[in-house]
Amino acid sequence: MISCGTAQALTGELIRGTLEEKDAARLRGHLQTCRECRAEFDLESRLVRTGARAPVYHPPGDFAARVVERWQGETAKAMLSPAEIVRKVLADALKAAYAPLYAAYVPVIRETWTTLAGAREALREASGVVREVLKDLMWGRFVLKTT
Amino acid sequence: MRRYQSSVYTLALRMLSDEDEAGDAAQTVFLNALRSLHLFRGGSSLKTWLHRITVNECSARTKMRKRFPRPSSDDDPVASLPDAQRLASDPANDEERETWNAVLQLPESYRLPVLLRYFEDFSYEETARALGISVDTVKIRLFRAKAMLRATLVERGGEQ
Repeated sequence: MISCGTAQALTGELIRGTLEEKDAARLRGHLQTCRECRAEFDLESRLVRTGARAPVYHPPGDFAARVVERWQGETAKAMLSPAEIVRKVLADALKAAYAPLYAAYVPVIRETWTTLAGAREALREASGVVREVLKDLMWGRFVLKTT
Repeated sequence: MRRYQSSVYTLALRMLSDEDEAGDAAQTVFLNALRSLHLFRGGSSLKTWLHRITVNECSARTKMRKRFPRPSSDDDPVASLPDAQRLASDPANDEERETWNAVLQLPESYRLPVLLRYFEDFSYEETARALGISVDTVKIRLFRAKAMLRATLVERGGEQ
């Protein structure tokens, strides 16, 4: 005797003809007495029959050509012309060289700029003083002349 | 590609029930396969791998269809399938037609294991790989799918 669980697990193999004859005979015996397993067997064989008779459909004749066309279109888009490749390599190299240069010189440039700004301010102040002195001198001369 | 194109197209057609969309989906499947061919490690057969891509592509399209329904989506999906047309033209195939109708009306998560196992003749392991789920889950879904099919077929049998 075999259990219902085993019987239902072996049903598919019996239908597909892959079950050993000894097991197949035991399963057939079980199916004659068990209604539930018989129903399982009937449905399984119905599905297998329907599946076996279901046709395979073929895509339109130009299917492969269309796929190849779409694939070639994609790869052509992804590919660059030699001139574009050279331009891209040069641009990347310049960008790569410029980045550390920029990073290294930015503090120097900033410092120089601050120093220059300070010097300019100092110069402006000095020129103001000089202008005042000159003005005083001019007025002084003028005062001397008139007296 | 020529070796598997019909198999991929047939599965797409059975999942989408629309010849144009199935053709487009099958093209996308092969393009996706070509794009990621370098990722194919040979852990499963090429056919199983292609079927997995097909299932993913068609499921995405089905979800898209649910989100943005087309005007013709009210049509009966079973009737628009070439299998249904073939079966309808031959009254001798009543049992087959009924089975088909019942299978195609199953929810997608139950319909796919049935299609792969019985219509593509996949093993449990191949079905699991194609669907990206475990073998145990395949067995559970098939068990539930068969319970639903039995109920549908008994109900129809009772009606007649």
